[in-house]
Amino acid sequence: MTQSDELLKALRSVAHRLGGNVTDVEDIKRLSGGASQETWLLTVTDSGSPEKLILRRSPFEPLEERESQAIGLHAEAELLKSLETAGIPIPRIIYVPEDTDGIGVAYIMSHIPGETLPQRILRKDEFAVAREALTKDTASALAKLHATPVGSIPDLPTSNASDQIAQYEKILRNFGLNRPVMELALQWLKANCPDAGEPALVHGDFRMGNLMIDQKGLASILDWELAHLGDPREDIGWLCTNSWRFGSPLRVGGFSDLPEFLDTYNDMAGTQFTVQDIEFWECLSSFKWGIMCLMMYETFQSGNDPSIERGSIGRRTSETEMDLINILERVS
Amino acid sequence: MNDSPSAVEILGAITNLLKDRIAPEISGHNAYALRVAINSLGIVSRELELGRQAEAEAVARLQDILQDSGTLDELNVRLCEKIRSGEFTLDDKAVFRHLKQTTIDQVRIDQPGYSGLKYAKPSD
Repeated sequence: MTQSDELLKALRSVAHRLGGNVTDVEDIKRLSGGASQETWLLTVTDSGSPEKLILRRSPFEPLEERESQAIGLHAEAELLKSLETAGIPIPRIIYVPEDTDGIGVAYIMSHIPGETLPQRILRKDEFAVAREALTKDTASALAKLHATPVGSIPDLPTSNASDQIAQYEKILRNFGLNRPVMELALQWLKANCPDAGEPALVHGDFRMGNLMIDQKGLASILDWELAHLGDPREDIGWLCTNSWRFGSPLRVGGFSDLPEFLDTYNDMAGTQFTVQDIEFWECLSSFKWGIMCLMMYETFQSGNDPSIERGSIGRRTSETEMDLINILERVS
Repeated sequence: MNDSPSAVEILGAITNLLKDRIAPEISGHNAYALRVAINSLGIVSRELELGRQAEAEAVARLQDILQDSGTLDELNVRLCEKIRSGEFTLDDKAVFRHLKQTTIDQVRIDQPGYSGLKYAKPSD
């Protein structure tokens, strides 16, 4: 049996738990993209007609947890359940498989139609209206998300700017690589690190690619595995990272100018974040993404995932160094 | 050395085979993997064409900055130490120019279409 056949068999055995009227799992299909997590589209029989659900599954869970700050799919599912009434567009958790189900570490969620491919969202005519709405939609979602009372969600790790600098410096040192651009960025980040404020819920991976967009605007925020408590400006800086703009000159996600976005966000959140604030976070973002690229290369090099999809990500480190050079030149 | 076809020509022919004849017959996750593989062959090909000269120029710049000799790796270790210790900072223009040129050369190999390459301000 192929991996796909085994998974389908395991899912069929829990079909009755996938919603009140679901009787069978008809078909599963692995969706492309996503180097660290598998995403499968499930077609289930619901009250006799086909319905779609999404399965998220992590084949490399122990390694991912050790190497990154990923909270794991189970904690991600708990967090999403606690945010169901927060007024943030997110998928609904349908079922979290038990160890004995043979599905692996995973959760099953509602299928929200839309597009995640940034190249399409940022360029195609059919998303022109959505692009107009994205400044307001993302600013509003982030303002609400950052205002979530910390007592209303499951425990999450706290990670402020200084924690992240220390954490990623340690990873860089463990690699034993000599990357002088990373080194220069690290020194600048240390010298310009902001003080930790009141801890807020931070999504941690809020960027194009993890945002499901329909023709009206933001439909769903995906991939919560890097959620933590920290500085809300982190999410804004991450969204600005050039790696996620896919060639667009617009600094926020490729769809908005930064001053315009900050005006909208500050109005909703009651904050006074400035373009100057975001420089630090954008620099930290490129620094972190560069090291994550090296981490993904390491899982390839060690043989844990010998695929070319995984290995070639190491060659994206230079793009983050280019972005770091551009940011450092701007702030110097 | 027998170089007809050259390594770059062989890679180009394999790339064309994968792109024009194999890719149209493949779908799903493997189609994505194949696109990544084709891009990776491009990296190898550009490295063969551009890598040696970029490396020689980087070594020359580093020898000048550090007033020292050695291989690229050895010189990079010393450069990293001096940045870490604070001896070189963002204000050292020659160091920054070197880092910028080295990064531009690397991105030209790894990802010549990357937008960050266009945003890089021309050096004075």
